[in-house]
Amino acid sequence: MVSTGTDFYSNNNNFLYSSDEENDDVEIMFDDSSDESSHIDDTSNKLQSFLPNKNKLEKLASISSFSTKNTHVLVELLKKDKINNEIAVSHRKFKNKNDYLLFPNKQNFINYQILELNNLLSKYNNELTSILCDKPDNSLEEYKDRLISLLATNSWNIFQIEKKLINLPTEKENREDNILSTTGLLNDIIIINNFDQDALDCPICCETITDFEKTSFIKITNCDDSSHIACKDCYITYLKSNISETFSINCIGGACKTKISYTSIKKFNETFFNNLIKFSLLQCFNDLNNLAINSCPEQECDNVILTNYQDDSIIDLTTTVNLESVSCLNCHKFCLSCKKESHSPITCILLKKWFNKINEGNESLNWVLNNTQPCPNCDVDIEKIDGCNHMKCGFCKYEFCWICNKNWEGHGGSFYDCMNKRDMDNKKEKNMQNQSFTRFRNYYKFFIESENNMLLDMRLFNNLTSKKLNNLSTLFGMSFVELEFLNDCLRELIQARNMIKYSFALLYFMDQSHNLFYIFTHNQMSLFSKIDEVSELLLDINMDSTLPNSKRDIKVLQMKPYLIQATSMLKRLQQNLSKCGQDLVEKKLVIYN
Amino acid sequence: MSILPKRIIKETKNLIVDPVPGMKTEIPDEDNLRYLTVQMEGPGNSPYQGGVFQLELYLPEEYPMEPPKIRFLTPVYHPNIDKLGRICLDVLKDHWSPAFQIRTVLLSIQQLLGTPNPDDPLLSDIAELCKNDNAKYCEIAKEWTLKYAAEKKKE
Amino acid sequence: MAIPRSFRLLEELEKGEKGGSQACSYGLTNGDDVTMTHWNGTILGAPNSVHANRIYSVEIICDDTYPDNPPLIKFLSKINLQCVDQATGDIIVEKFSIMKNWKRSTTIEDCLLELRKEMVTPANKALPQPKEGSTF
Repeated sequence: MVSTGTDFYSNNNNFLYSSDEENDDVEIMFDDSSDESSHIDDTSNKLQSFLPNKNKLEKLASISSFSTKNTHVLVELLKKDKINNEIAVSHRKFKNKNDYLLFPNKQNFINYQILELNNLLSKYNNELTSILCDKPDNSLEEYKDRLISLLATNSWNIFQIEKKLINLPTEKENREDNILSTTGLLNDIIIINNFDQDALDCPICCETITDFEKTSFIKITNCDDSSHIACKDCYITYLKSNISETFSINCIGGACKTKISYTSIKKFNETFFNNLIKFSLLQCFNDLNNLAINSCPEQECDNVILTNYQDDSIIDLTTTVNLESVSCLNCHKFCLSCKKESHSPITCILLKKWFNKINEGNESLNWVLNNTQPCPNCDVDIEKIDGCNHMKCGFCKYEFCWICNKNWEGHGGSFYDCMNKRDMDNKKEKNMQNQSFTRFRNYYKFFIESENNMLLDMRLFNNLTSKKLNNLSTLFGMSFVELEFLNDCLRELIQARNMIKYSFALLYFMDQSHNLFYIFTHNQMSLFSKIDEVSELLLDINMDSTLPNSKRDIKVLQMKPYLIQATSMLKRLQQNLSKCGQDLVEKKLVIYN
Repeated sequence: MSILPKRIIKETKNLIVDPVPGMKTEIPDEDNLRYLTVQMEGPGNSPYQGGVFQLELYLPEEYPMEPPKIRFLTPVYHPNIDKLGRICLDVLKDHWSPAFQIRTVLLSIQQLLGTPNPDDPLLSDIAELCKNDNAKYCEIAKEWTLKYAAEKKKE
Repeated sequence: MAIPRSFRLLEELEKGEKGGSQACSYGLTNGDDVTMTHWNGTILGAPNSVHANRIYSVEIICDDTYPDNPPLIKFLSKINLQCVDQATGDIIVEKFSIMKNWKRSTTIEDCLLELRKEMVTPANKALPQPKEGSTF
């Protein structure tokens, strides 16, 4: 029987929990909350608090030791192994297309894959498990290595391995070898040091070797060609020179396609083995077509995300607008298709054009990057240090708009109005030739401004979350989970700002005479004013120095209902804008290039 | 001067004593035994038939772990050989194995002359012609062979 | 038994074709020059100097004795450096240490990058520079 992808994953819960436990969904292990949107920020902290669940593990272990079948001893050992703890923090299980499995680091990801694979093997093909761990001298470590090599040679894709297993010929003869070679586990390196002859020439360096004890030869088991050997020195040099650029190494013989097993390379040299694994992972993560396994593109972020996409679901990047964005456990949101920062509503293709455009015009746009501006009233240089465009000069108290430099009065709570006017004013006065550049420059300025706003907000929020959350929890004895609403809101706000940023990039390319353009900008404006509203409010809480600290904290709590509502509002407005952007692209309103 | 590995001595000696049919290998500089020149006859039943092509070959420090470096000195009209004589051949790149020898490489190159691989070209214009108008391609290749690789040219 | 001239130049060409360094570029003047003698290159002016954002063209000649001897390098764009002959644009080898103390392993790219460094040496930094875009 062939199980579908989804079944395959849901079955796996049985492995992790003993069968008498009823675990319907969502968490794999240890995770206490069923709130799907909750993110784990402090993994170790959380892990600590989940420890009571440990008895599940112990129960499991005690059952396993009664297992009568020799072949399962190793399997059960694997369950008891510490890797169970390591993957415990990965959370959320596939339910539908939009679900992801998140791993806080690559090691956890690898361990999870090992467990999954192990489960697959014992469930689907008991015979293979026995082949893998049947030999009495196989240690747990070695069994694990074999599973790792199986994964590494198959793009870390369990589906792929399963497919291969299904297609195995059924006849008994050579079945074991067949399985091993299909799975890349055959072909160990063997060292030979006794020959019939007294002397033998190494075919690689051509040195004649007589003392086989001192200089042994190396050959690959199951490679039939007896000439495919080399002296140990040559073989090591050969392995070394190949290992940095590949994750599979062939037998040294000419065009020989026999692959050397990872496990024997490990026995040979552990660094070689680790390099192979590293390279294989890298290859898998860098593959843009592989939507199933993704490493967070953020620098220094080690998170891994598994999705429900299988290798046959090919996505056409040119037309897809409904981009999948995923968040890793550190809340780095990125686009699954191009593995860049999440950029809805603009498409990957247009985004690329946009960035090309920016690179072209970089020099003339330097001025935009300037962060200070003189106060329009008193000429004092003002640096913008928070995210809102409603400026108040610290010197003369004049209130103005950062974008148009005009008095804030009449901005109706948002600077959006002035943006629109300005764009149109510019269009009137410039001639046709200049128009495209002017247009670009304007949108670029909005783009950069939005980005700056986002960064400033992030700074503010780091402040808020680290200080505030600590204060609140000590003051009122509230748990971090109860205060999660603040985090949620801040995160949503950042994401909304990010969307605003990219919506300007999209607008640049669009035909502004079309009605949809108008609808899009309208949606954009709604989102914008909500952002401004929430942002300003949060800023107030942080900045209001007239209140003593405790009062400010209470204010945060008082605003809880508002903030929760605002969060879902922001979410909805983002969805609207994203959908509208999709319409824009689908209607082919791209006119500027 | 570094000591020449036994492998290189053996291979070069072999090439001179027992040459590959249709090829003549020479060591032009006794001070640099890693540098060889080869005269290769164009394979039969190909537009290169009758031509004698000059190649130069260098065995880098890492040989045989790294492939030999080799290029045509005679201009060749071929989709996998560029204007500087550089050759696009898998065994000279990622399909290299230390078990291959200079002999293997030379035979592969001769074979490449006879059976161009326009699907993995170095020069796309020649490849297009080779695929779409093979007669025309053969004609030009023959012309070049006559012009640059005629036997009498190397005296 | 060092690498012969032709394969050495092929190596350098390959690196240049792949993009090599960000601060300079180089390639054969004529793509089918089998002898690989005539090269041209560009050097991006050193940042934080008057040369910033300028692009200088140079001509490089690798004769038969390269890489045992340094190549001949000549500026096409006008530039005022101590090691550049102000009448012709030729590099004065005696005043350019990397070429004066030539090593076989030194490459064309090394020379171009070194010229870029020359632009910001104290002795050269004070020199007045010709108008951008003028040629020798």
